[in-house]
Amino acid sequence: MNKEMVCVICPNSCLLTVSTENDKGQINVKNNGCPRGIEFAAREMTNPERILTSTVRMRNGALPLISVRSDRPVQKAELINLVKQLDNLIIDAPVSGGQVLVPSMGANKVNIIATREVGSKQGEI
Amino acid sequence: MAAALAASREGASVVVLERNAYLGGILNQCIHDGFGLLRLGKLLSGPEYAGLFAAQVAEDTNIVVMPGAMVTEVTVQKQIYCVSRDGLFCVEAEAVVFATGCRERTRGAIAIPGTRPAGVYTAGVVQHLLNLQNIAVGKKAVILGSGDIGLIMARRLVLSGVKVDCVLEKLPYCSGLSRNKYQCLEDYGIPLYLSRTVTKIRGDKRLESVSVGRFDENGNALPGTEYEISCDTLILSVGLIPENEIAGKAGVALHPETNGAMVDSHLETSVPGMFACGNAMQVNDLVDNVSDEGDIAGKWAAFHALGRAPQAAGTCPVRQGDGIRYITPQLIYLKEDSTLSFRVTAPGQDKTLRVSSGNKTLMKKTLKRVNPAEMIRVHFPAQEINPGEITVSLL
Repeated sequence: MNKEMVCVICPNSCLLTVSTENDKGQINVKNNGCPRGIEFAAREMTNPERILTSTVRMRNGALPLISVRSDRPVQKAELINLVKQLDNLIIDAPVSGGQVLVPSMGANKVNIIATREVGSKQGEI
Repeated sequence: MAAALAASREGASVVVLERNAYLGGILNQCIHDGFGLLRLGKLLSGPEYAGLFAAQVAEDTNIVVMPGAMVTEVTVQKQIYCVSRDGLFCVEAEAVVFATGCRERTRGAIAIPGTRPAGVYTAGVVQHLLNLQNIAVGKKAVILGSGDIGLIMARRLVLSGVKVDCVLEKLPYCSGLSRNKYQCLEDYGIPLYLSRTVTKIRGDKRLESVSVGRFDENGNALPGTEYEISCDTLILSVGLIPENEIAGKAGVALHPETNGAMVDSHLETSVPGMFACGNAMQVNDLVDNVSDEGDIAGKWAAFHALGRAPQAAGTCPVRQGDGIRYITPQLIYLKEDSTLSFRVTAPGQDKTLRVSSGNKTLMKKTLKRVNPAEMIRVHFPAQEINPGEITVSLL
């Protein structure tokens, strides 16, 4: 089976052609610019992963939302479900950049971290 | 911010005039990841990338930041008039860097016929509403244009529970980066239909449907191919225009096709002491390249302000040849290495990039895959002999 995919590891965005060699699931990768392309292709064929990025509502924040991301990739299959869980949360201000808002989420047990700081409402005019 | 930091490093006193209440501009609403890989070796979100620069700016005693200050005019004498909550004021500078970014093309710019209902947005506005203001835009969306912000918002809308019917693109190829097509559309099963555009907008108070028409490979409309998609939201991602009203009025020459400020390899514009970088100079794909441009503009602006400006001798114009949509800079200093950035006119494979002067080839490079969506940057080494002018073409 041949599959085309774009390696999203770096901006070079190599267009990979990936074929499954035998029943053991060994893969053959073509057009990769570096070894990371092979790693990426192998993961895409078995258990694709993505960084989760979203927003979480704030209580008493200078802004209504705080932007967040996972500190490591999550499994692609559960990404939508994890974002839905975050949509149900409300976090109290203030929050500092890099602060862990939700620990150990999903199968990969990632931490959801704030990607900026948001002060309290009364703290800013 | 990159320009301010670079100018400060060279010993200049810097004032940053920012229209918003915060620094970082559009990065604050770009909550997705992918920023910083080239410069920092890290995959960051937009706010994180901006935050790293903002922290350095805050610590830099040579830099004064004035948020909430909107520049209304820059004179040729480099008097910068601003309005803010504190009133009207004027900053007098020895050098000016325009880092004013770009803005989105709108429905008006592409003249879509039909009614004027609520529910028609540009992609960046949707990004602002969703990611900063917590305001939902609709339930079922069609995205017109396959620019990067459109692709990124397609994914974001699906993740926030909106049904995205499809992305339509008038051109026969995707206008966004292939990595965004892959991870924003294909990941979520969102179809991308090429050679199609919205031909009519319907709805009274709220958008009810759009008509979609097809084009042949030469871009001619095919009559009778229209069909209708019901939707309450239409999102436009149909191009970005460098924002240069202030620079233009100050006398800065603008590129007739892109509206970007014309610059030399120091990113100095046609007005001595005025520099331009980032999306105001050319619309970039990657923020890392925007910051690199800021480094160059800030450094040379500082040199100009401190009276260390270079001699104009030893420069040569850069012309765009076949296959090139636009190229920057338009003038290079020959005694120094330069970076030429350009976009091609059409997608292709195994193309040869040629930098020539008359019949003489100065540089040749094979490009495996080219795409108008992806800016190409090549290193052009310092030259011993002045070739008079150079032409960059793609064969």
